[in-house]
Amino acid sequence: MSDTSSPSETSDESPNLPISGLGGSTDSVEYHALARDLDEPGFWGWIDRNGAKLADWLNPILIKEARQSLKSRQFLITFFLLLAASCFWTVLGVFTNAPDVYFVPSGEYLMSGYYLVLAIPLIGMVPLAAHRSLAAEMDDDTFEMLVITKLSSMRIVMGKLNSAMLQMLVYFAAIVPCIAFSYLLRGVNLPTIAIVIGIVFFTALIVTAFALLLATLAPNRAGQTFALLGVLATIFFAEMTCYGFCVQGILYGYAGSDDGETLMFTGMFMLIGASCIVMFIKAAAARIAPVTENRSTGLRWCMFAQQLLWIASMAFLAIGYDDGEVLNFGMMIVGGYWLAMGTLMLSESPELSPRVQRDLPSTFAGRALLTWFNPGPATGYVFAIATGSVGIASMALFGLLGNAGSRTDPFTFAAIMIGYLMAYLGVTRLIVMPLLHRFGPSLVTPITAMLILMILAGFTPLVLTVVITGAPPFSYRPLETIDWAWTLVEAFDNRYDPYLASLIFVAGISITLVNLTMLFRVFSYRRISVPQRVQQDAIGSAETSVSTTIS
Amino acid sequence: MISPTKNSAKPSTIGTPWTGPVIELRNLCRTFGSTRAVDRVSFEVPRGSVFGYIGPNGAGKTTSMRILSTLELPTSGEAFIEGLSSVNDPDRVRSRLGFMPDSFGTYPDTNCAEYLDFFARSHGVIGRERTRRLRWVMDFTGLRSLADKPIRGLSKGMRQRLCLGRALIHDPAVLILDEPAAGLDPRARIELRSIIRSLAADNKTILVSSHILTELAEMCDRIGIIEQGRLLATGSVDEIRQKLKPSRDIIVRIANDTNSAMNLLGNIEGIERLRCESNLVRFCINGNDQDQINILRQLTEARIDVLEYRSHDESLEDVFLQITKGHVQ
Repeated sequence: MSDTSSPSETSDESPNLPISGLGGSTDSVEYHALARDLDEPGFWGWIDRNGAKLADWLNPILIKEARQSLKSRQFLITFFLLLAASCFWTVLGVFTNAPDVYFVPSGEYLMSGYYLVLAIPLIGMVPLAAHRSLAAEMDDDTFEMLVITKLSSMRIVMGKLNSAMLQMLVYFAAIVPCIAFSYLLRGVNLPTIAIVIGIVFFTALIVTAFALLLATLAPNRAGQTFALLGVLATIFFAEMTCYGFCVQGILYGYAGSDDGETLMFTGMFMLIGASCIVMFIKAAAARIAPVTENRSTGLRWCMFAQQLLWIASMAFLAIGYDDGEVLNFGMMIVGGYWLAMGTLMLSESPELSPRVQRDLPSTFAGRALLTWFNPGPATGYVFAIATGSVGIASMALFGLLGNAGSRTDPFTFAAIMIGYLMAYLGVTRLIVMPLLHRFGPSLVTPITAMLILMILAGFTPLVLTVVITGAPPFSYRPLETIDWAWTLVEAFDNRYDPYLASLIFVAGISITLVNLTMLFRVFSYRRISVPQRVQQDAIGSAETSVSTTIS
Repeated sequence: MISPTKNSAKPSTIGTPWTGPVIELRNLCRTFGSTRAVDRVSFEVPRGSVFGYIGPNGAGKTTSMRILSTLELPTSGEAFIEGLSSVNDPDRVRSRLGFMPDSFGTYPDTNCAEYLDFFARSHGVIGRERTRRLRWVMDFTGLRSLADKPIRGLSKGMRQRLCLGRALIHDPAVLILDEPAAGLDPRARIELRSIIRSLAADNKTILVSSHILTELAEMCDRIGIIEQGRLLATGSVDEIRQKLKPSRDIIVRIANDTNSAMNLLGNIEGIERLRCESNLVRFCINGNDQDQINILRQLTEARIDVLEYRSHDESLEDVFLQITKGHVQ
């Protein structure tokens, strides 16, 4: 076959397929370039063929999005605005610093401007475009066509993330000469530039992954509006935080590449940020995966790993700074994290599809340890309580190595946090169980129940005190133990009474025991065998794959 | 038929192709609130045949097609493609399936070739196989000359062709076409009919719904009539017709001796409602093809000159109107 596919070239290479079609004869029309085989000899032919092979290996969504992006007005406008802004800033910087620009190091000043020129499209535009891209798939009815292909939900989300990364690289490539220019002006060294750019890229990735997750949460127009607002708020927060950290902290502040603290915090941020990206991507993929698929176990492992990272980071800081307050802060975050995750897991369906049951653990040890990773609200509740409590307790143990200071010691704080986690999540589960049984699984019910519970817990002691005494309380008393906000403030500001902390802990344990009596269903599921037809198909697919590889 | 999920008694079939029904619905139910969109629907479609799904708007056709296509979950019941559950093994089903919905979205910024190329890649069709499939689909759907045209500039009919091309790009064994003729011009409709027949001849199994019943009658091996979620009748058009009306109307045009013909026919057992209009004799028989042949033989043996002898079949529209009541939900 010729390299350019002559007009007479037809699709008769598939003799088993009928040719007579809808269009009548179009033999005189040349095939589109995408429909031609790449048989051109020589170096460029070789490049073409290998480029095509590489493209076959890439995510199809990345290819499609790249083609669409290159034609889109939004990309063109953003790209040329970025170019224009970086040129403008270069000229302005040189003029405003002239004639000192030749003698005084002024790279730091120019770099802060380039930071803004880079951060606005990377942290602002790219996540927004990725969010709209996924939301538009659902909105424009293209998503269903996508999910019935061979692309897994993870590949769909990864395709969107990859195309966002590609856009980031293109924007970055446009500003590289300007950054090199700021380096040549002295005042900012290469490691500092690398840290700043790394942080911007990483922040952009986290925000993009979160924006993709938000896109999957909105099933209708109203929901999409809220999701969009959420994305905009996240972008604003990320822009501000990143600006503070990179420009005020690193470029103009005392921090720099030669500062150990900067490297430590940057490393910790990237480690925890990476776990957040994985979590957001996994959650987004789970949201769009078929309902019968196991959408929970992978996420639970991810949460588990995220907790380990957090504990390690906090322990490192606590030992490094010899301050137990860091551990208390870490425990508060872990408690809040599992409260939120446990609430989300309560919304899972209690029914396990046959597909999920095929992969359930079957050994005694597997059933004892891994049952809590299976999907379902009951396993989710136990998983959140158990993992959270163990995590908080482990952090408290690190308190033995550090100085607790004059405030609440880590063990007392751990008792408060474990008690609150068990109590609030347990009560929420008791409230939502009958509702979910009656109305079916819903994300809104447990979240609403938890929010109402936390608000009521905050205000009830106040209202009771006003009703009884006629005046609001001025000091912390045992009645205020159900008020999580005041308790935490008290625990951070003063030495908290261990007696009251154990009271909270015992209350949490009691509510957990009540909940544990209703866990019988978790153990009723057993692993089922893979249907013979599926086994037969799997073997057939493997044989086809092997023969394709050999050929 | 052995259940794909409970088939311990079945002898091992590993390594052999699937020989059971390619499409199978078993007591499929789908409710939306208090509305039963699909109510205990069961049917099977063998390999290489075309099954027409007929029903008024809101009858449950699209819902059952979407369940088969793994886009929707049934409330109860099962749906299988080549013995694989659409509910529990959607990833395995999807590789065998080409689905063309009645309404669908496209990527307006892309052109036809890029659109088809994207879906080929998404189905794992790579390398030379992809370019070959692209060429075939472009020829088959008549999009070769429009390959460079942006999708936003395509007419409704052209979009239908593009969607059909998308459904065919990975050479699926099963095609589910929801109103594929909607928006096509008369010529394209005729071409689509022959395309569907040629795809079936190529051993593809096709489930197709349409409001244009004459077209379905010509291209389908079997049909299913659904109303208010319930499958009212299944079988070939003739079988359904036979079930609805066991007798057949015969029309005979006599050349000259109408009286002799009337006398002869009046004495034949099984003939009912015999009447004559000029040289046209009409009657009904409660019999099969052989009985019809025997009557003609008796007429010719009695030296009665017959100009025309035919049975008057009810059209699919008549059958449809008799079976359905026009209820919508």
